[in-house]
Amino acid sequence: MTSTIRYYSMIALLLLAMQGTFWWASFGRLPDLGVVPDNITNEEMQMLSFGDPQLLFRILAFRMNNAGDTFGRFTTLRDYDMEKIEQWFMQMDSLDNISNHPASMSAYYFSQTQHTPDVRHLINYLYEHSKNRPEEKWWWLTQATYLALHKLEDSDLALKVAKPLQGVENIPYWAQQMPAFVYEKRGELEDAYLIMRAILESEQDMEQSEINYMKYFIEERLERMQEEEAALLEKKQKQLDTASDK
Amino acid sequence: MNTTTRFILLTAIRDKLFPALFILILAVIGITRALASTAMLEDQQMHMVMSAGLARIIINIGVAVFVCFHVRSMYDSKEIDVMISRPLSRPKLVFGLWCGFSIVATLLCIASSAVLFLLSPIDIAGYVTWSGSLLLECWIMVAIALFASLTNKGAVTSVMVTFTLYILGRLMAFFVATANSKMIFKDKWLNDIAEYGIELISVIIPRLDMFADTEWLLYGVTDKADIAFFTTQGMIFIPFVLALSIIDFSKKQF
Repeated sequence: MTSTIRYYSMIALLLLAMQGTFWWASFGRLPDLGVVPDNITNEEMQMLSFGDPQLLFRILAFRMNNAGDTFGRFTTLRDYDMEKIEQWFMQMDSLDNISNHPASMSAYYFSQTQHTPDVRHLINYLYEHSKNRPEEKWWWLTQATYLALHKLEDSDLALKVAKPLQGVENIPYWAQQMPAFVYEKRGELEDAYLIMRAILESEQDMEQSEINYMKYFIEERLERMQEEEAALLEKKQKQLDTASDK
Repeated sequence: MNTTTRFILLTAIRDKLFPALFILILAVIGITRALASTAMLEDQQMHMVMSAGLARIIINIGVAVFVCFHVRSMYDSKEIDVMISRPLSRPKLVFGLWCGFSIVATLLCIASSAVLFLLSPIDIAGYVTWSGSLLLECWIMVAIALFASLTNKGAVTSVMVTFTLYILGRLMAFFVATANSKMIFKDKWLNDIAEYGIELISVIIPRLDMFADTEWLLYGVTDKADIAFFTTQGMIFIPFVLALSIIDFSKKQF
C-alpha cells in the first residue's frame, strides 16, 4: 500500500513538474483581445442567429457597445477600426433596421474619435441606414450632415447626406431645410434660396416663428445675391470702360 | 391517462424541476438586466429580448433533458412495465406521457411569461403571440424528446438526438436558403444534389425558426401570416411525432 502511494506520488510530482514546464512554455500564448471584433459574413450571422435575429442583434449591440472597454481595458476612440465598425453596423441592420442603437452609437459615441478621417465611415453608415426612409430616420441624416459639414468638413459628402431630406413631408422644417444650409455653407446661395422657397410653397401649416425665420433667410440671401450681382455688374462695367479707354 | 399525467407532475415536483428552472430564468433576467444597463440606448429592449430569448432556450433544454431522463428512468426502474400492465392502450400511454410533460412545459412557460410581463413588454399583442408561440415550441420539443427517448436506449443519446433535431429545426431555413443559392460547390451537379438533399430533409424537420421570435416583443407581429405558420406547424408536427412514437412503442416487446 505504502509503495503504491509512493509510486503514484512520484508520478504526480513528475506530472506537476511537466505542468509547470508547459505553463512556462505557453503562458505567453494569450488570446488576442482586439478592440473591434473581426467581421463575419452575412451567412455566418444568419446561422448564428439560430432563427432569432433580434436576439443576435441585441447581443451584437451589447458587444459593440462595450468593444474595447472589456477585460479591464479602456481604449481611446482613435484606436478603434471604424471601417470594421461600419461593416458591423451595416450587418446588424440586416437583423434589425428599425432599432436606433447602432445609429446613436455612430452619431454620438464613435464620431467623437480623435482621428477625424474615420468619421467618414460613421457618416456612410448613417446615410445607408436612413437614406431610403428619411421620413422615419431624418434625425440620423441631420446628424450625419452635421458631422460631414463641421467635423469632417466635407461639404460634398454633407450635401449627398442632406439631399434625401429635401421635400420630405411630416418632418421638422429645420430638417427639410438641411440641404439649404449645406448650399449656404458652400456659397451656393441660389440653390439654398430655391430650397427654402420650395418649402414655403409646399407647406400648409407653418407656425409664425417658422415663417419669420424663412422670411429672414430668404431676404438675407436675396440681399446678398443682389449685392453679389451688383458687384459683378460693376466689375464688368469697369472692364468695359477700361477696354473702351484703351 | 390522468394517472400518468399526475405521475409526471409529481415527479417534476419531486425532481425540483420547477424551482430549478425558474431560479435559472430569474438569474438570467438579473444578468441581462446588468448587461443591458450598459447600453447607451434601448436598454429596456435589450433586457427584454435577451431575457426572453435566453428563457426560451433554458425552458426548451430543461424540458427536453427532463423528458429524456425521466423516460429512461421509467425503463430502468420498470415503471413502464407497471404502466403497460394496466388496462391502458399503448397509444393512450404515449399520449398521456406527452400530456403530462406538456403540462410541465406549460407551467414553466406561464411562469416565465409572467415574469417577462413584469419587464413591461413594449408590444402587448406581440408579447401574447410570443408567449403562445413559446408554448407551442415547448410542446413540439416535448414530442421530439418523447420520441427520441422511446426509440433510443440511452438517456444521453436521446438528449443528443433531441438537441440535434432542435438545432436543425432552428437552422433548417438557413440551410435551405444556402442550398438554394447553389454556391456551396463549384460543380452544378453537386449543388443540385445538395439542394434536393437538403430540401428532402427539410420536409421532415419542423420549422422552429418560425417560433418565439423576440422581435415580436418589440415591434409586434408585422406579418399576420407568421401566426398562421407557427400554429399550423405545431398542429401538424406534434401529432406526426406522436404517431411515430406510438408506432415504435407499440412494436416494443417487454
